[in-house]
Amino acid sequence: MKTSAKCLVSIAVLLMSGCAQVGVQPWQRGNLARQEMAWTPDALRAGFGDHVLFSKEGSTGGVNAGGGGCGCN
Amino acid sequence: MKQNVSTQIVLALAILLSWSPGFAAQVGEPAPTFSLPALASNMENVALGDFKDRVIYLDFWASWCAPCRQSLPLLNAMRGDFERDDFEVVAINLDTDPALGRRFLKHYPVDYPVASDPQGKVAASYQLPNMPTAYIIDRTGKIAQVHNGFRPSDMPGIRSEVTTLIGGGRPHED
Repeated sequence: MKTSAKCLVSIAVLLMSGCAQVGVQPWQRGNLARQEMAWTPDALRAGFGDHVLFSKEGSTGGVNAGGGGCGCN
Repeated sequence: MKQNVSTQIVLALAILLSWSPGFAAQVGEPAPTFSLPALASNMENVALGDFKDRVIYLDFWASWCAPCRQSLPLLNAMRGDFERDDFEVVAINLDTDPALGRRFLKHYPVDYPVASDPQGKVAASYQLPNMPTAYIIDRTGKIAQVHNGFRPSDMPGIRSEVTTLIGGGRPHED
């Protein structure tokens, strides 16, 4: 392998490593936990909607978990 | 051949250098030390070293963490049941804006020292797996238990662990 190719591969590996840790850590979820970030802003209304779906159409599940993106508990 | 070996070494080094995993604080290991500004207490700084020879319940919390609304009052009540020389609750608030943590404490006041870690440096050194997470640290400064999440029904278990550790403790379950 030529020296220039070696350098190119090394630089590419180093640059790609910038994407190695893009996950939001548990302690960084303050913004995700905001109410406006929730899939369903009104949990009560969402629960009611789920109940209607379950009762009338026999479908349940496949919706979101409660709360926003806090991921707590 | 020589060139191939050097290429492999360069690539291996590049990959190794780029791989920077966080190592979570584990049971049986010494708890990572810290010194942080106090969020709301009569102390200027809160350092883990200030509570040497005591069993410590190190609680990481934030105002946006819903279970913390239950944990703080319960921990504060538990703290009152033990001698100060034996046990202390030390809390680290992880709000990026400490004012949010202070506002939370007005609603849920506590008597134990609360530090502020807005940049999450200490949280990163412990590599918290979840929010909230608490570490029960024995008198020698080693982590005796990692407590993920919080439910009020966890309290008897926490109290029992603390009581055991205060009374001399049992060997770590590595």
